[in-house]
Amino acid sequence: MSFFLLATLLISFVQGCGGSSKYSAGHAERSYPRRMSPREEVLTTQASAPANEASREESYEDSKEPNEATAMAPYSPPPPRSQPLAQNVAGGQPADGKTDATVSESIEKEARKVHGQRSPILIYTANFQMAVFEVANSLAEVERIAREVGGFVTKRTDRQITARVPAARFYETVGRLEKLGDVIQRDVTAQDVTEEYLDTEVRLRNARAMRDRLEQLLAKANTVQDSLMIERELNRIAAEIERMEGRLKFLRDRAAYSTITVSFDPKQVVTPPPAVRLPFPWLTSHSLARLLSL
Amino acid sequence: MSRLLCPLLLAVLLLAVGCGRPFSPATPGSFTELKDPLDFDYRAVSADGVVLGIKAHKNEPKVDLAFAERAFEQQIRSNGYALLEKRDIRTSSGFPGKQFRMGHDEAKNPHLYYVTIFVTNDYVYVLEAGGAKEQMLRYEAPITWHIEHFQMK
Repeated sequence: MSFFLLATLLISFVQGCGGSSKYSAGHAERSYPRRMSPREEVLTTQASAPANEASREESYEDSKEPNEATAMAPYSPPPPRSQPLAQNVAGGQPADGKTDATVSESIEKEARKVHGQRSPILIYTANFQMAVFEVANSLAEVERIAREVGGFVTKRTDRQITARVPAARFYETVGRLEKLGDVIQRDVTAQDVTEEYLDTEVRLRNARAMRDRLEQLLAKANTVQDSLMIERELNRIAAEIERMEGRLKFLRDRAAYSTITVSFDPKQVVTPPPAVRLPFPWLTSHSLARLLSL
Repeated sequence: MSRLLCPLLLAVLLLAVGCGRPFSPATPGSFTELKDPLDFDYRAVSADGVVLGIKAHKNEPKVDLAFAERAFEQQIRSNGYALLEKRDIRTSSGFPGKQFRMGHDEAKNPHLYYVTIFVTNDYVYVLEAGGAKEQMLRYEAPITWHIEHFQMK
């Protein structure tokens, strides 16, 4: 009796498992192709007939919006792309019918996809306003600390010093600087430039691909007019690439080395005016300068 | 009549002298008191430029030492002085006060500036001492003596 019961249970369990996997498979089949978002529909309607089946598949992949389930799931890097997006664009005109706007939308999506897999790119900045006491010694001390942590001084005046220190040692440096003297005002910021960095990176990749394609077209150009047109476009793309490379270099540099400025100039102190001015002459009548003026 | 007038005149004279400043300063041996203290009620200077100053302000509106201490500390921050230390002080007669030790660069040279406050029912006494850091450190003992032997009236 118990044998039959056990056997029945076992069969039910196996059927249950099989049923659920069948259901999953069926669900997957039913849900593919999923319903397109309005933006995808726009993309599809704007696109002309694709050159081949492969490119159509890629275009679909590009325009795929993360649904709720995938948006919450841990990020998995996108499959390697056979061709960058901009490679579909020839001579400044979208070969597959995509307009500039749709291309840039695709780039934005690409950036969003990539965003999840990297740690944030942060630019740390600190400004210290110190009380004006033993300025010369303090400036030398700031410089010494900056060098000790592997940084360097970018600017030094009689009353102010700016140093760049490795981002990994930013907080350590800030802690050491706070002990240097009486800190009147402290301003520490961490600016997240991840999105800008990744966007620029994707745009740069596509611009380079476009440049390669233009170079190929230039080699095949039959008329002088075509050559001139392509060269003009090449120059524009080259300038754009340079600008983006410069921006990426700047962001990388700012993120790798944090900027710390220490000022000893009382004129730069920005303190909010007191809400109430206390009416005590004994409070405001003292000053070292007045004491020493004989 | 004259026997009655003489002590009265003497009393008025003493009172008049006393009215000049409601305290008795103690000038250290290495300092000399200035005849014209300008904005202060008392000023003395050492040969190498350390200056002592005292000013008695009417305690109006009335405050106590704790109030004065807090208000003064706020004031220091907005004036850009580096607050180096805050000390509890007592005169030789045991009257409590508060001393703020501050630093500030004057013409790029580090200076020390001590402000000591005593609060009575009638007056707020502000005792100041200032000078180049090196000299101030040298005159530490006379300055302390000057404060400890300060007498309020």
